[in-house]
Amino acid sequence: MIGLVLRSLVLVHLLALELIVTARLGGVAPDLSAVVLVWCALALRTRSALLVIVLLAVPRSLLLPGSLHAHAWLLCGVWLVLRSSCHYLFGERWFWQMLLAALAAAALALAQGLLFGDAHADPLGPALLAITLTAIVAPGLLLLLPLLGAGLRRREERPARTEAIS
Amino acid sequence: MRRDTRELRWVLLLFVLTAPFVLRAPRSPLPGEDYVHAGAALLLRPALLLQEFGGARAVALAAEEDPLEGAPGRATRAALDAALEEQVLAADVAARFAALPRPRVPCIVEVRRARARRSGTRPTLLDLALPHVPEFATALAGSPVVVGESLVGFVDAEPGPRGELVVRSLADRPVRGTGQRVIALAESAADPSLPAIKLVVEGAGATERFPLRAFLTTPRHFDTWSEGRHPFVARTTASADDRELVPQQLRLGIVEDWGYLERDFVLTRYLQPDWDARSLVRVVLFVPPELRGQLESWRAQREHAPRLPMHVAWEGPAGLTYRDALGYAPGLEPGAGLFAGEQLCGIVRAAAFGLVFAEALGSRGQQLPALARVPGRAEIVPLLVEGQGLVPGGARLRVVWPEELAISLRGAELFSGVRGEGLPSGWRLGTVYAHQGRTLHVERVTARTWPEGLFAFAPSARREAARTAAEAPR
Repeated sequence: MIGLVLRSLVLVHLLALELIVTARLGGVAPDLSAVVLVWCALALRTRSALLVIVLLAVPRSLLLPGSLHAHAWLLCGVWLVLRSSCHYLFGERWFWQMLLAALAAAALALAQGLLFGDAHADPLGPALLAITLTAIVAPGLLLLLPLLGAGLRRREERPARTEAIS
Repeated sequence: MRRDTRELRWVLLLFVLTAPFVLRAPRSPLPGEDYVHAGAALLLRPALLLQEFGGARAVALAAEEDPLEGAPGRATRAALDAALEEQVLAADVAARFAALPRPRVPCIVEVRRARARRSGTRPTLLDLALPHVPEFATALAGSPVVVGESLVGFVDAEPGPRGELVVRSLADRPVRGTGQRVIALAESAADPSLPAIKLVVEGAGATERFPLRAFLTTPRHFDTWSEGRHPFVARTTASADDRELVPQQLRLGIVEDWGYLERDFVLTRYLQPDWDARSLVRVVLFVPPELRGQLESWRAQREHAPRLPMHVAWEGPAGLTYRDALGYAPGLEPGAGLFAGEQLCGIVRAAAFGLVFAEALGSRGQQLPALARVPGRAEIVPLLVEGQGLVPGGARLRVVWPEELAISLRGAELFSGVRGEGLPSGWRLGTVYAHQGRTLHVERVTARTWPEGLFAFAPSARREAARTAAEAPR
């Protein structure tokens, strides 16, 4: 329970900070939600990832337009795409992490524009530079995110699986 | 690993099954969502917890003062009210009601809110700012309700959810039973020599394109859409049933035909009325003369809602297309307005445990009734606008109703229409500095931060509690 509250506390402040930076820089701040989604797809088991997605959807629905279930659905959809991509893109390597983060940021911007912007534009108005910045900061942040309380379990499991097959 | 894959299948299935609900209403909150938001808001600003203790006293103090007395915008609102009342009461319509076998006299009444029978459908019921008193309700039931020259509907015998008098508009179509039907005659305004169409008018279905539908039309397939013929204006005509209640020549709407127009084959004949239930601020009830005094005395007794101060604890950054604020104001309901001075600044999106989540005026998706005072014109133009997002120095609004505006609103001053107790009419929205198609660019008196002294109007339940608290011995 304390862990949940702490994670929520970090995520709500992270999102508020992202909003302020986005507004100040005119839509060129990195999309931290996209990086968290990549982390969920790479590092966590399904149940843990869903928990993080719900915890992320709560502050997003508080601070961004759109309802809680719509944000959770949207994040879940992007996570499903990323998770299946991770099997082919060797997510452990930093350049694939960059690609995944860029993919997540672009998908989020597009879907938010369709869902919450009446198919006009994402309410946050991200520029192409924002997606590039997301890709640039993603590998570094993915090293920091495990501090939230969940390690890279699948990364540890993968060599073990390979050994079992061989 | 197998368990993980099984869970993933369930997630995928759930994702697919919930897609229609999410895509249909991505902004509609789930029940209880506000409480989850309140928890997240407390994590963002834990200081909000401390405000809970001082809340009840703040409301009690606010209820003791009359906020409108001596306020600088009171004269503006009074002038707007006077112009509206002059506009909704047409002298020749009153004369026609006076000439009925059982004469009726006009009584102008404020609308409190428009609501739909079922959520997600077209609002067709009007709650009036008059109490539903059973001994008068029988005599008032069925009284015609008019705006200008247009018949809007009839007074319902049943009270509203808060015990107020209710008007069933002509567009109202109950799930069971029949709607209200009016016999009408439609004539071409472009060419009066064309034959008139006889029709019976009733409310259309909730999902249909227009609010009113015609049936038993004679002639059935008749070209009303060609140039030189359109528009056909439908007006009431005498019938055996309602000739004692409704006079002739009250406007019902413009005939809109759907079908195979190139073959002159009409599938459905609709009517587009001159009003939209959400945009009505004042209506005229035509009542028996003996009831007028009672109605006027009720109107005079109407009390001004006390102000409820809102303390902003967190405000969203300026520079985005929307702007939120998180604050504390116990008792507010979603949809209530947030005011500063004479300006409507925002609208409450959600509220729980006294925590209020508000969005700035003009945020995308925010629908609002508005009144436009166009320079050089005496009439007030009622509108229904939808926020299209904030822009530097103002906001963009899209005109949802009316679909076609005959005049340019450039330079017009916009005021709020009425939407419940929390959002009364006559508060300033801004000035239109550009009008392109259906998009209005509105200049607003806003700073980079939410203004100081934000307040809302206390709902009646809260007002009663505040009065009790104020009267209690100290």
